[in-house]
Amino acid sequence: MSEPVAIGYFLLFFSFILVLAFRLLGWPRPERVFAWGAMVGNALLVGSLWVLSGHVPVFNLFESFLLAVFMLVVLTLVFTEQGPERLCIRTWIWAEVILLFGILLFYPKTRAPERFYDKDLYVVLFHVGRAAALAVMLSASGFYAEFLRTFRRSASQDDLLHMGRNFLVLGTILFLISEYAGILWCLNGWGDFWRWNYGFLSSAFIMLYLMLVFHLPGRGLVSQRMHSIMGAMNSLVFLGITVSRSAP
Amino acid sequence: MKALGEKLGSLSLTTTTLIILLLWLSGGILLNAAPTFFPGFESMNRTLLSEWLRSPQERIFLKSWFIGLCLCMALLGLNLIFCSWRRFFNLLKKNFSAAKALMLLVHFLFGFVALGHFSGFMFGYRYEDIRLAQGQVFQPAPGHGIKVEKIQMADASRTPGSPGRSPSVFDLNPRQNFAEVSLSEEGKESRRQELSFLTPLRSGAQQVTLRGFTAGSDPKVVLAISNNPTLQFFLILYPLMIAGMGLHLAITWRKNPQRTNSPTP
Repeated sequence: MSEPVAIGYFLLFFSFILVLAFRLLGWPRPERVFAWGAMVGNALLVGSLWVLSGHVPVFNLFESFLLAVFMLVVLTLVFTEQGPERLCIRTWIWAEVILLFGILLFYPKTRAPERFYDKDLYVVLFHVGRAAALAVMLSASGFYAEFLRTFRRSASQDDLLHMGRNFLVLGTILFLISEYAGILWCLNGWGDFWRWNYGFLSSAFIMLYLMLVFHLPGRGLVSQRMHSIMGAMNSLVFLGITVSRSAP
Repeated sequence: MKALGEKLGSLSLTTTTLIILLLWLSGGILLNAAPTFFPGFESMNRTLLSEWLRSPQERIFLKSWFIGLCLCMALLGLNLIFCSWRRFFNLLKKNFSAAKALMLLVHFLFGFVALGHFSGFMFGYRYEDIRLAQGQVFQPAPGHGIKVEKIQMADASRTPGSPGRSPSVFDLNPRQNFAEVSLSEEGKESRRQELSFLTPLRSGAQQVTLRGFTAGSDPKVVLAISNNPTLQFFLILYPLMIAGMGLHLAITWRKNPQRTNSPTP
């Protein structure tokens, strides 16, 4: 474990716990201050990992989750409103950030070793695309979770569903870009674009799950609810598969 | 007949097929983790599936799983054709919109991408783990030759830490560890190139990929030699499909207040 990096991680973890706590207490001003502070701290930690390792910080779970959290926080601060409610989109997203940091407790808090292939464009694009897709899908889950909470209570619930759908489609596009880069990487390194192994089968599983979410039939309230449950679950499916592919 | 067509093109069939596919794929993931079936998956990686299916040594259970997967995909393809057919005429006759036309195009492209993916399993040829020393030739097809002209390995790679162990290609500097390979047709050299990890040689549909080196007094290169006639088609349509989705998302990002909200893109 690299000590300054680990200290940075624990400080960020604590800051995001405070951010969620302030949100749950209904104190938007300290929440905003700590969220911006944690985002800057996160950017500094990701930047230092980049400089120290000499590669884009996406080559182990620690690096890629830190990058995903940074993207998720930026999306949250840009696309969600700073309201006084204790339970809102931001509550769910801060909880997701804490989940990511919680998972990292079980992983070494260190940068990935330097490898000869870590500057290959397709390799980098594959990993960055995955981190970005995870961040965007977690944003979508925040919107869907809030839609489910306010179901039949709020007039703006259709907007929540629409934004959830927008982020999920964007996440799918980023996932597909990452997959395409992975195809080119595999083609250059192994001579074929598909391998019958856990990595490829699990990617196909994510793809089929996304297709299922987008093709649920019906237009009524039940269908909307089903769509939002499946949409909210998507990031957890993606997260579970990502974690299962990276043994601590 | 019309009722059957409607059922085949229905969204309910799409959902059902996707659920079956997800379950089928989960079964495949479990099989892949089982030591009994893992070697079967490895042999699927080594040969074209058209040859693998004919091989009598392979387990019938794994073959059945693969055939089941193909049948589910074929049903999804049928559903795509019927659904797109209906939507295409609806689009022309009644409510034309750029977003709908674009989504239809994305679905067409998806169909062709899936077809290109499947064709890659069935057509052309694939040879993995071909070990050649300097000067040796491999013939993937009659009249075609692949010759290793030169093997360049850094000294450190020739004598790795544990004796007799071949160095992993991931740990070798590609600038210092490479092989020069030439392709020939009917005895005439048609192409020559240095190969290193992640830098294959491509000539038309044929590809020669460096997969590793074997250490020792007579070093060899480990090559994968493949020919996928539909690869270019697949590699062009895939990004077009992504671009179509991106354009559709840009058009529909703002909610249209006149339309009822549909969760599907």
